[in-house]
Amino acid sequence: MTDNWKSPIGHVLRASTAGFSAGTRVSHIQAPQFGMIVRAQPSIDERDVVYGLLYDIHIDDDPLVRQLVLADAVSEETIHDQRHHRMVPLEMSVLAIGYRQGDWIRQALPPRPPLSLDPVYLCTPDEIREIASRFDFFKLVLGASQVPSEQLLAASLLIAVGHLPEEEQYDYLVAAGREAARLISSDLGRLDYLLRLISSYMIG
Amino acid sequence: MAKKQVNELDAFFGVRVPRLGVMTAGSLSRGLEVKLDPQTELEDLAVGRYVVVRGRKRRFFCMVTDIGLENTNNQITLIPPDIQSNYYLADVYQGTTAFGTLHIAPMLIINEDGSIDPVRTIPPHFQEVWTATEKDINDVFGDEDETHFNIGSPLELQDTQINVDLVRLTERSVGVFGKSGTGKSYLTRVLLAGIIARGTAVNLVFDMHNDYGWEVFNEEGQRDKGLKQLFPDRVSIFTLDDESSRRRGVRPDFVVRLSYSDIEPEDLAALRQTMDISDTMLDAAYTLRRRWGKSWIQQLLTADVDLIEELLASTTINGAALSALMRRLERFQRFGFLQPQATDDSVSAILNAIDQGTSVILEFGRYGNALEAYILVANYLTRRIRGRYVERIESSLGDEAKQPPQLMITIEEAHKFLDPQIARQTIFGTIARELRKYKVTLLVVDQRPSAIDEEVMSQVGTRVTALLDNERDITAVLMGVSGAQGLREVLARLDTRQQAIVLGHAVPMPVVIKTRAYDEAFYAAMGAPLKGKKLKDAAKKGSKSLYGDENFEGYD
Repeated sequence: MTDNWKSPIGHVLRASTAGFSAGTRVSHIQAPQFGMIVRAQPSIDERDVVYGLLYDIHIDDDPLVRQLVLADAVSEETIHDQRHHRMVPLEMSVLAIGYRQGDWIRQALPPRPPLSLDPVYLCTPDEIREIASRFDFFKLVLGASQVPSEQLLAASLLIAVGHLPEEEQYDYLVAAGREAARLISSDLGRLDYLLRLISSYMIG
Repeated sequence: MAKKQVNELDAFFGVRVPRLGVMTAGSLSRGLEVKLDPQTELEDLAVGRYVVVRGRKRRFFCMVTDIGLENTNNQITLIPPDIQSNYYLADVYQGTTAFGTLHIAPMLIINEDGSIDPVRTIPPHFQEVWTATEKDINDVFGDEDETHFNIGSPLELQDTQINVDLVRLTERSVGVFGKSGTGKSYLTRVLLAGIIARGTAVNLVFDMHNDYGWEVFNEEGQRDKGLKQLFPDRVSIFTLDDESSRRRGVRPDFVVRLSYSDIEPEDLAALRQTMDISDTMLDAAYTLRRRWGKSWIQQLLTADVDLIEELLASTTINGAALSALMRRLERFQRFGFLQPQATDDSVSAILNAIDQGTSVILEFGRYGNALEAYILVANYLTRRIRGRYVERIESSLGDEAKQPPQLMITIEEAHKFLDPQIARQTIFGTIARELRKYKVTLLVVDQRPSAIDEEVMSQVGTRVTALLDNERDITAVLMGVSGAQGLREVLARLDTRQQAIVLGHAVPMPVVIKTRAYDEAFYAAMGAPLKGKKLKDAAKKGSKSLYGDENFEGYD
């Protein structure tokens, strides 16, 4: 595990209590990953630290890219230059799942959103374990209409379980599966899809 | 990733009593519903087992009466998940979307101080349900002492004991029921051994197939000791068939001989069905008894044509009925124990033994295969013994010291005596109905309880029932028992051997037991004094009876 949680992976572009978007350079695409647990950390004031699941990473076009894709041959230098010096950021969409309240992370929508340009970090292993220890955020994920809920929950669980001791991992995923079953047993199609996403990781 | 690791605590301390689930619905009359926890292994549960609902203030002691499968979404039954190839799906679905349920019948309430109360309420929603522990069982069934006798253990707690209250057992009639081959004789022998060992009653056993007195071969072909071998000073073997007894190595204490002259028409009434004796034939018997006195049977069997013609001419007896009665009575001539004049008084011999506190086992030898002989003798002796008991109880004017000991009479094939059509006319029907009034009760052993008169069944205080699979028999055994519907399932699913349900007067609640083994340990226990706490309790009781109040510290 690298220490890539020590540096920000981006800064807040837009935000609401339901989530936020962060932007960074396209060249920093190695750090974020679908399903990761991130936090928007106010740097100087007493505002809430907001936690969320990264559910979308997208790259907008710009006039130059639209022209370049029509060109017959684009040199490597041009591509490299376009990726590293363009003025359109790589955007990451985050679904809010909690906020820090004193010494613990409360798994609920934050009272206020983060502000623009607040730095966004990957969560530390301790934060991931703390969030993973409770399943209250499942309802927020499975109830969010704008995100691929099952894919997102499965991806975040599989990331989180990597921070647990190996002998606890299976029991953890079973417990998580049971919580999901409790929440969406009325929609067996969704539940079955979610469980298969998780089990495909275990079975291979 | 490893599947499930063995819990280190369980490995160190041993598997602890697990929580089974939570109570979700139900009522006092219908029983309670339990949703099982995902980790509860459905296959480890069984009807008849005990669970405890831990209410807010009390423990509710319950019996599992049904086990089921439920789901939160019926669609899962139409498209079942493929759990065979995906163990993760199995572990998640089982216990959540698809889960097990228990139906439990509340039997008793255990208060905080350990006292027991009947169930008159139920716990609120979502209380935890646990497997009953040894402590729970002991709180309900108590310790073995001078009046409580261990007859087995609950199905899942083999180290615990179920103790029946022998005083309560013997003060009312008892039934041992079960289909053929389920160990009724074995159960009866265990109960009789307990009654003899604790001395709560003296027994008279009409031993049809020589199962109780001397050793018998068990199912495994090994010899089990008879009651005479276990209690040589407290049991006497009487026999109707001396030859058979001696052939089996038994030295009977008394050979029973009955006299024709002692047989009364009332004795024939009990044989109406077995020997197809009609009302007209019985009327003829009464007329003959009045006309010829005690020798009526002998005179009839030796009568010549002239005597018969004279009889028919001078009485209202129907000729056909008289001929039929003669043919019936001629069957008695093959019974060697019936003699023109008996030298000894068998009834007095039995009563003498009973007065001395000695239980009598009457072996029928080869006559055990003749049902009419069994019914005739049992009825004959019981009528007279009960008659003497009535006289003595009435003349004692309530003086306990003058009263005879509590007597329990054991009969097999009881429905032949207690059939609805004859139960009112036989002495056994009378004894069953009059309860403990004259200190005589019955221990009826039968495989067809539905054929026993309903009124008699309602007076059977304690019922010990092995497997029954006939609906009518199950209904008959559970008649008058609260929560009977749940017990039906339990009763119909007992093992064919060594399992029984005990319900009624002698136990605080219906209980399914694995019957105590009738083996060397049992023989040893029958001769052994009570130990430890039991001995202390006995000493305390003795002290109390000597000095009154147990806290008595002496006179000033």
